[in-house]
Amino acid sequence: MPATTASKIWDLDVGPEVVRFVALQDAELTGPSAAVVAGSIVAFEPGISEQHRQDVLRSLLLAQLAANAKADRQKDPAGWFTAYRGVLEQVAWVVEASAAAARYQPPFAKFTLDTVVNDAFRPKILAEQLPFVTAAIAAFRSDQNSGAELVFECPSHSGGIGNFQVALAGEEDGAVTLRLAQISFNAPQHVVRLLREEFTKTSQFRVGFLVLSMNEEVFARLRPAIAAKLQDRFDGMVAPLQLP
Amino acid sequence: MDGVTGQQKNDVLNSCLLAQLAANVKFNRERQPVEWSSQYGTVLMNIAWVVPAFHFRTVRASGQRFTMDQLILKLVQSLLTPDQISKLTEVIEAMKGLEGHDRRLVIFERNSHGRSDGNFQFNSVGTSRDNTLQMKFSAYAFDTNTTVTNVLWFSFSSNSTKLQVSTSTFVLNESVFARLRDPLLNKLGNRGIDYIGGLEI
Repeated sequence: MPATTASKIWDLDVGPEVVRFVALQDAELTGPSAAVVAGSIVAFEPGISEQHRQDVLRSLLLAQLAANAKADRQKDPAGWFTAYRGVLEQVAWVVEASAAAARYQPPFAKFTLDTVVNDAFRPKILAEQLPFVTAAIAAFRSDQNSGAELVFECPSHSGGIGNFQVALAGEEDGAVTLRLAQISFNAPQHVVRLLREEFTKTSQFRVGFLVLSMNEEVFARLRPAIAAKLQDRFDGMVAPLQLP
Repeated sequence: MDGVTGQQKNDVLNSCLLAQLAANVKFNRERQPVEWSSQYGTVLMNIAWVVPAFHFRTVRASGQRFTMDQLILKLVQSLLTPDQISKLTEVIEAMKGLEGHDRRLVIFERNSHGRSDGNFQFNSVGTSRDNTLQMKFSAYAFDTNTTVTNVLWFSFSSNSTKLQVSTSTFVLNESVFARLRDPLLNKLGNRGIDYIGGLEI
């Protein structure tokens, strides 16, 4: 191949490059952080260890991939979430609290997903925890054409229907807690960029909530099996979000 | 799980994980809350958690209307210490005002919009003075003919609401549980590995 052609190919714009989340593994991360894992956005509270951050990301990815194999993510969100939750329970996450998906009543005639996510989390978490979630959503919205967008958009929605999750992971005295909003919708429009889309009351949203505690003792035994199962799928389906 | 750490925390989490997985196999947690909770309790009883009695009873509120928070406080009088009741009252009041979440209180809630039914559980874990693990388990399942907007302080009609309640204190028999620790951990660990291996992704 002539050198000029190789150079042209190299220069071709083929969309954003996926930034590997593993690049952050060696970093000293003590503040809040956030990432996208397939069709989920996850915010990490300050103080969560890197091992637990990886555990959360791998658990959320495994649950999504396994649920995808059992139910249609977009057309059957209830069946999909049953499978998803079942996987998390099987890999040593203990259900502390759950609210099954219920119809969401938007407060305004026109709204974006920020409002839905905010309304889903506000009654379920402490006031000081909410900014971690809103910062993760804001980071995703402001980081246009990023690897995170590339990872998230495809699994989270299709046409006018969608099914995605937003999670908040924290650690206290070594105990990891995951608070997870499950959001699905059926809208009359073709959704392009989910977090920047404006919805009206004709769109039907359903929101559920799940609080899980990691059973560390059992999870430690499952880590190698989970890592082996995900193998090279992890890097391409997880992307960090740059918090402001 | 305030104040519960180390081995005791592992004991609680391993017990709850086993009970949760075993109950899930037999019943649907959301559609069969009474059966699910009974199975959950049965598993705990079989792994050295001692409880005097564990069953649901149907409760009738005396007034024409009642709110769940008032009823819960009334029902837990015999279960909790005055200090715990005071804390629970504070938590419920705080939740009313702030719609906040308190880590001492774990609520399982289900909202259904076709029929108005649901279930939720308060599960608080602590230790007694002699450091014995105690899990106070309160489960509620209701069925009413009106649409429930917020389960804790919704005003229910006594005549049209069926409420089933189970309030029990599970105490861990640590000397027996000590013999179950390894088999329990192996069961959860080994079957977890098998499960992951067989998972289609």
